[in-house]
Amino acid sequence: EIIRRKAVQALYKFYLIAPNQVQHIHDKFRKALCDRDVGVMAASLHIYLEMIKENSSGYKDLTESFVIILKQVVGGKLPIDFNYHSVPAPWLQIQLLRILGLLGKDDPRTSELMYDVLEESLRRAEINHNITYAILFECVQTIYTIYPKSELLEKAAKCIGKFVLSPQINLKYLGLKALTCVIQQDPNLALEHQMTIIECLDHPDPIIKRETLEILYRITNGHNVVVIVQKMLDYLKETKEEYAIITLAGKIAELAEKYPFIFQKPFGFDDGKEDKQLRTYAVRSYLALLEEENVFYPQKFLQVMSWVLGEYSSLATDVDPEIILTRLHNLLKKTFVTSETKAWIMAAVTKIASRAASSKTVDKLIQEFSSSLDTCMRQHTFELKHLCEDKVLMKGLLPFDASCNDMVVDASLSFLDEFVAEGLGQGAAPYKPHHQRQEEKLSQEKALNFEPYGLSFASSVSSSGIAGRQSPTGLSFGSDTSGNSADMGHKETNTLKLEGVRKLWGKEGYLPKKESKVGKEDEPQTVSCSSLLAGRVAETPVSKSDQVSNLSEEEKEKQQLASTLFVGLGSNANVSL
Amino acid sequence: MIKFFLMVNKQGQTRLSRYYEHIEIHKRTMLEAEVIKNCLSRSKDQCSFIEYKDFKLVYRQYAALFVVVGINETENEMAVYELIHNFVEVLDKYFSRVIMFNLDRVHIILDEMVLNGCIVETNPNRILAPLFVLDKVAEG
Repeated sequence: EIIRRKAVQALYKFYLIAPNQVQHIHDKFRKALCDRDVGVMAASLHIYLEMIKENSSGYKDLTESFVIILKQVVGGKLPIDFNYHSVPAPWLQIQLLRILGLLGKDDPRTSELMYDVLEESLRRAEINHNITYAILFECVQTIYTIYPKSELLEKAAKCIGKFVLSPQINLKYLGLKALTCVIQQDPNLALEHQMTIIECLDHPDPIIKRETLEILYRITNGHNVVVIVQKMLDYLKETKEEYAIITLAGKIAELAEKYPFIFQKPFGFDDGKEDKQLRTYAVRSYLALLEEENVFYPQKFLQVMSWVLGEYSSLATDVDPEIILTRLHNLLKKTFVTSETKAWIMAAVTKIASRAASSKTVDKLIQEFSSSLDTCMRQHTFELKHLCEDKVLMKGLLPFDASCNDMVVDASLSFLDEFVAEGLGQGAAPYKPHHQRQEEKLSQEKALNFEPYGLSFASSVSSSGIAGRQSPTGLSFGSDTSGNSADMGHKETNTLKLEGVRKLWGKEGYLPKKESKVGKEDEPQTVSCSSLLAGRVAETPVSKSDQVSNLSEEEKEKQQLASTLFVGLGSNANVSL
Repeated sequence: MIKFFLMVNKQGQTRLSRYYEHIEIHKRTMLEAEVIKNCLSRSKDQCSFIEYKDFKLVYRQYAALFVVVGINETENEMAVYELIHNFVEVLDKYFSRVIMFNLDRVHIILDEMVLNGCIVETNPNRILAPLFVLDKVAEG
C-alpha cells in the first residue's frame, strides 16, 4: 500500500504540472479516495484539494464521502498507529476540514451536511495539546467560511476567545490570526476582546503587535481611523524590516485614500498657499540632505527626492537651478544608485532643464551619459539632448505641476498612423510582433541541411541550363513569383532544403514579405544554388522599390521603431503633440 | 504550501536544507543567513511564528538545533509546528541518539513526510518502513 500511495503522489505532481493531461485518470482518483488504505486515501486528498480549489462546484457530490471519512477519523476508527499523541491523524483532519471549507462556501445545502461533523470535531478536540489547537483553528476557519450556522458560530467564537486569552504566546497568535479572518463577518467579537487587543498592541513581541495592527486595519471605519493610523505610524518608526515597512505603508496609503480627512488637520490641502509652503519646504530640506557626502539613502527615498526636486524646485526662487542640477548629477555618478533610481533622477533633470536656460551642467551630463553602457540611461540622455534643442517644445511637454492635472496620454500613438501609412506605401515591411519574428527565426534555423551534397551536381548543371532558357519567360519583375523558389526547392533533396523557409529570395532578388502571394504555376525545373546566385547577381540593377526592400527585415523594423520613438523630436511639423 | 525546511545549529551553520520551490543557490545562502539571524534573536517567550518578507517562518528549538520551516499563508502554522515535532520524534525513533552522522537517511525520512510542499505522511511506522527495508537490503 505504500507503493500505491506513492503512485498517487506522483499523479498529484503530474496534475500540478499539466492539469489537462490527467483528465482521463479522474476515476482512478476516485478509486484512490475510496481505497481501503488510509495512506492512499490521504494522498488522493491532496489532489482533490487542488482540483476543488479551482472548481468547487464540480465536486460537491463528494462532500458526503469527505464527511464520512472525517467522521470515521474523528471517531477513532483508524488503526492505532495513526494517532499522534492520542489524536487520530491530525493532519488528515486538517486537510479534510480545508476541503470541506472550500466545498461549503456560500452553499447552504452542502454546508448543512457538514454541521454535525464540525461539531463533533470541535468537541473531540478539547484536549490540551498543541495539535488539537491546530485542529480547532482549522475548524474555526472552516466554520466561518461555509454558510453560517449560529450555534456553530457561537462555539467557534468561544474557541477564539480561549485562544486569545491564553498565556501561551503561540495560542495568542493563533487567536489573533483567527480574529483577523473572522472580524469582517462578526465585528462584535472584537468588541468582546477589546481589552486583550489593546494589551497586545503593547506586547513586547513585534509579531503579536503586527498581528494586532492587522486586526485593527480590518475594523477601521470613519471614527477610529485616525487613532489606528497613528498606531501604525508608531510601529513604522520602531521597525527596521524593509518588507514590513512597505506593507504597512501601503496599508496606510489605502486608508488615506478611503478616509482622506485624516490628513487634513496638519496640512489643509484646500489652501493653495499652504500647498506652496509645503512644497518649498520639501525642496529645501531635500537639497540640504543631498549636500551631505558619503550618505547612503534608501533607493525609494532618492526617488521621492528627485521627483520633488524635479517638480517643485522652481518654487525655491532663491536657489540657483545649477546647484540642484549639480547635486543630481553627483547622485547619478554614485554607484549605489540603481538604474531605476537613475531614471527618476534623469526625469527630474529633464524637468528642471526645461525651465532653465541652457545649462552647463546639463550639457556635461549629456556628454557623459550619451555613451553610457546602460541603454536606458542612453535613451534618457538622447531624449534630453533633443528636447534641449527645442525649449518651447520642452516647456509644453513638461508643464508645471503636471501630476495634479489630468494628462491624457494616447497610448496607441494614433498620431503616428499617418507616418506609418506613408512608410508602408513606400514598401517598408509592416511591423511584425516579437513572437512572429521569433517563429520565423526558428524556422530558418531548421533549414540547415546536414546531408552531404550528392553526385547530382552534373544533373543540376544541366537543369540550370534548362532553367536559364525558360527563365526569361517565367520571370516577372514583380514579386509574385516568390512561390517559385520554395516549390522548386522541394523537388531536389540535395540542394538547399527550403521547406518552412520564408520566401525571401527569389530569382529576382529580395522579395518583401508583404507582397508575397502564391506563385504562378510550378516550374518543373529545380533550382540549384548556382542558378539562384546567378539570378540574384543578374537582378542587382533593379527598380527603386526593390532596393528599399533589399534591406534586411530586422534593420527595417529597428528603423521603424526608432522613428516611432523619436518622431516628436525631428519632425515637429508633421506631428502635433 | 511548505517552501523550505532547514535545520540549523546555534552557530548559524545549516545542517540540512530542503527547498520545495526553486530558489537560486546564492539566494539560498542569503535567505538562510537572514532566517537564522531572525530565529536566533528571538527569546524564549516570543511567538514561534515569524513573519518574514511575504511568507512565514515556523521554528522550534531542540537543544542546540533549530528547525525552521518556511510556509506561505495558506498553511496552518500550528499544524506545521507540530509537524516539526513529529519529524523530530520520527528521527528519535530511528536513530535513537546520533542524528547527524547519517544525513542521507534524514533526507529520506524528510522526503517521506513532505512532498511537493505538502504533508503527505505522518505515521511513524509508515515513514520508517521503507528505511527498514533499505537497511535489511544493505545488511544482507
